[in-house]
Amino acid sequence: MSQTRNPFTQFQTDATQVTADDDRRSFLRSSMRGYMNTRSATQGRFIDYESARIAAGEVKWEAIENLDVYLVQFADNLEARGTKVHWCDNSEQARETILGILKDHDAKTIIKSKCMTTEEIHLNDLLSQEGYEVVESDLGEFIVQLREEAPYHFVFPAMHLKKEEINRLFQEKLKSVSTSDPEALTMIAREVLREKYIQADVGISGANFGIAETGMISITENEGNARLTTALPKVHISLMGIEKVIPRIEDLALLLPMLATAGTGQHLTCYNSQLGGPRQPGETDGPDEMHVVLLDNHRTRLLADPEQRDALRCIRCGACLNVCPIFKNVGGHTYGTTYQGPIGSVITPHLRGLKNWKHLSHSSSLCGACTETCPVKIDLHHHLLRNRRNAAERGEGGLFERMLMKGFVFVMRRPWVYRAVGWTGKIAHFLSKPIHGTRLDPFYRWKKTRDLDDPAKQSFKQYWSSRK
Amino acid sequence: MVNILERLGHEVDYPQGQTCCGQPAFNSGYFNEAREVADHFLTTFSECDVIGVPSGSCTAMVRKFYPELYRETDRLDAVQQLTTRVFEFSELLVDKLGVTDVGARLTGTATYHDGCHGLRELGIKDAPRRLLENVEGLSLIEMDESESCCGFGGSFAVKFPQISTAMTQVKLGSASQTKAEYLISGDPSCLMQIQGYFSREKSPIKCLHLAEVLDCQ
Amino acid sequence: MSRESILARVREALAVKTDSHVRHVSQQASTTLPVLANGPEGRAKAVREFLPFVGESFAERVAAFGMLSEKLQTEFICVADVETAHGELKRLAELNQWKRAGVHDHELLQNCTQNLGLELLATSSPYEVRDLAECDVGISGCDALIAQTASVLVTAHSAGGRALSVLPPHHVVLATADQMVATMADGYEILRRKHGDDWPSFMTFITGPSRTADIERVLVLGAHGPKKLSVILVGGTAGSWAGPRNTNQ
Repeated sequence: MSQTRNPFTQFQTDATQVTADDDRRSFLRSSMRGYMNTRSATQGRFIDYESARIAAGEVKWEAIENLDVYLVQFADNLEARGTKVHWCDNSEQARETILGILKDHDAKTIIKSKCMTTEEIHLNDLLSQEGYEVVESDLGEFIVQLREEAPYHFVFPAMHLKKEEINRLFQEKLKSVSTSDPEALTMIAREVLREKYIQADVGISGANFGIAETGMISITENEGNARLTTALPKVHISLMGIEKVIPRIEDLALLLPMLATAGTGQHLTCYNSQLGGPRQPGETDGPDEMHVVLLDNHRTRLLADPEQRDALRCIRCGACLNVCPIFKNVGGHTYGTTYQGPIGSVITPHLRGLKNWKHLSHSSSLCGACTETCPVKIDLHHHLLRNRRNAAERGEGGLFERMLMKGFVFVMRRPWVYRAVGWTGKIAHFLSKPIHGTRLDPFYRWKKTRDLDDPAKQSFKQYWSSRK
Repeated sequence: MVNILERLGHEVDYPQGQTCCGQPAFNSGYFNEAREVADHFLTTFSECDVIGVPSGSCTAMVRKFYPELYRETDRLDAVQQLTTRVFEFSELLVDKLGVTDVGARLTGTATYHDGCHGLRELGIKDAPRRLLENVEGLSLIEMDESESCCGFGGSFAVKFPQISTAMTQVKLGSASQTKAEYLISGDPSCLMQIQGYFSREKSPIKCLHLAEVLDCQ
Repeated sequence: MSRESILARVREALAVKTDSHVRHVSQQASTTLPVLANGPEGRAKAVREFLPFVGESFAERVAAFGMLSEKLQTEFICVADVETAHGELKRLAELNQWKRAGVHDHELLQNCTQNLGLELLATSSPYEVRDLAECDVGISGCDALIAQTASVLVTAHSAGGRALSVLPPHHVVLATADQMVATMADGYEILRRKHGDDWPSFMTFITGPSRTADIERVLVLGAHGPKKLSVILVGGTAGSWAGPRNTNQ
């Protein structure tokens, strides 16, 4: 994550680099093609997938539009069964809270299961600085942690890496034997991590949903790492954004299959666990303490936007990334954000400021593949347009762009000017031939990679007049 | 388009004052400016019963986005009325006029590119294919990436040329795999992007607008 | 604490109603909404009517569970009675060369896990995690089998805690015929009846053996949890699953 570089410059530079890497791009494409095939088959088994989408979307609307009610219910129900609930306004408070819990327990080693919200608050950096041993247990996260880089995709963190690269990484960092077999590599990680679960003082997880009615968190996973993270250590901390709360437990019967289908193409992921507190009387294992850290961190700012609060309904399935032609061609790191792809481009300007992150909304052809695929029907690509509008209204586009638009209106409202511009354009095109293809050419950014036909000799208007 | 409609016995008018639907401003986020241009469009086309548009993108602008632009304005009713009269070319022929065979002839193999606005904003998928199936001598071969964006996206193509071009590169790969001689689409802007890149890469695939194909005799 | 400040911001934000146009976008098909308006029952109905089809009869559910199990690489075994179940466990024990098994207090288990020639570790009373990690298998009960997803619903109560069903490399589930239900919503219904408001602190839907595809999308079983999952349905003979026929290859 590049904090020091200007996000727009970083985006352009990285995009240029990745788009030039044909090999990596075709690797990403083929992996996404595999996802699409599995997903289509699973989706095809639904009696009525479209209605299921609407229903899932409605459940999330109900949650978001009554968030105050459900948050209180959620927290009260958790506390009634012995979970400590911490409300945090921002990243700093969340980091301090978690650090405080670790200190209270004199913890040294921490096992983590996948949690994008901890990426959002840069928890690992802080904990390592403070001298804690923090180990990511999800295989993909474990790999990117060893590489000291951010997750590439918020569902498939290591999707950009080839098995040979992972082999080299494991040899170097884990001193393991050389193998490029995915199964053997997975088993190496399994062995290393097994001991970590047993030793860890504290387990940190995220939460895919918070159930208000019963006071539980729900975690979706495939590997079993989240189950071990929440079963073995004495203390369990779960960090979640406030928008994850849903009304009822039955909602999961709908949302979990939708999350799996859209996210990975599975009809349901391997483990979908609900946790409603530390070990209760009569139970023989599980943590002595459970903490839920609720994070705002500008989510309420997004909620205050009556158009774009829609995006808080996101269930983080990652489907919009998987179908996005921008994501597939620039890859995950280029975004420079915690949440990549279309959903990231929609929400990051709200969470981290429009001024520095508006370019993500412009870096889209507005093709709408994201909106078409979203399992809860978030109006994603139109939100990108709304971000563009907000930026334009605040004058973020700059003077040149504003003048250009004024000029555009002037011409388009006056057919005679429009015709005159057509004429002068043709003359200018003819006169400017010597500079075509050079940097002086106003169409340079187009023509660097693409041809541009000469204007038609006769406009349609002239043709029409000559016919009559 | 005019030739085809006239051949089918329809009277075609071309309001001389027409310019642009305003999408370039709209897509850049300048909604007020887009509305000013849209005002001009509304006035120019106020007298027409049916408006045929040789572009899915422009049609989507009018049908889908004008109502959003004119929310809470007194022209909203007029706009809503207009949206029922504007048709993308293949929609006009197949859905409105019930024509799927215009008696065109073109020998060769072709693949079809679905423009995003036509496909996802308007739901156009079958109409152009039904028209093309009835073109004598033409066989249609679907490419894997027919629904993937060509990479144009208006100002996006100039602001982020590297990404835009990479997307067209994917399109070229997929179109080439079909070994089709023609790539056909219903959107001039997609065709400008695709043709611009294909021609730079010296691809033998010829890019044609649906109307050009249907006009071949 | 920030509880009040966050709630105040949430309330202030929600004082402005959601933009009607945006709200409308996700509401296009009005048929869905009457179903949902019915609260929990509406949700259950949506799950039954929109998600993959599950038949009403026991035989259909067993067949659905069996078909998906094959894809998931769950070993699904239907047996007539406890005695046959015991025989199956004995066969599995020999086949997989188990030595130590994790078990817990459970009526069905008690009758099936005796005389298997295994060293047993019970997790119903406090136990050492390392001992459980040394077990070759964890044998547990469950609350429900979900036909729609081929999932096993377990809780801290029905599966002897949180770890027994995930730490050993092989998890064997014993279930009875009345536990076979259609959807996850039905599974929650069972738990509501059993526990009222006093939910166990842990429940999970187990759908196949632990898996990952984080390396080049290649499926690997046994990422962190069990490499093998066996589900033994006791009393499932009536039109029960007779193993993979020539349906799917």
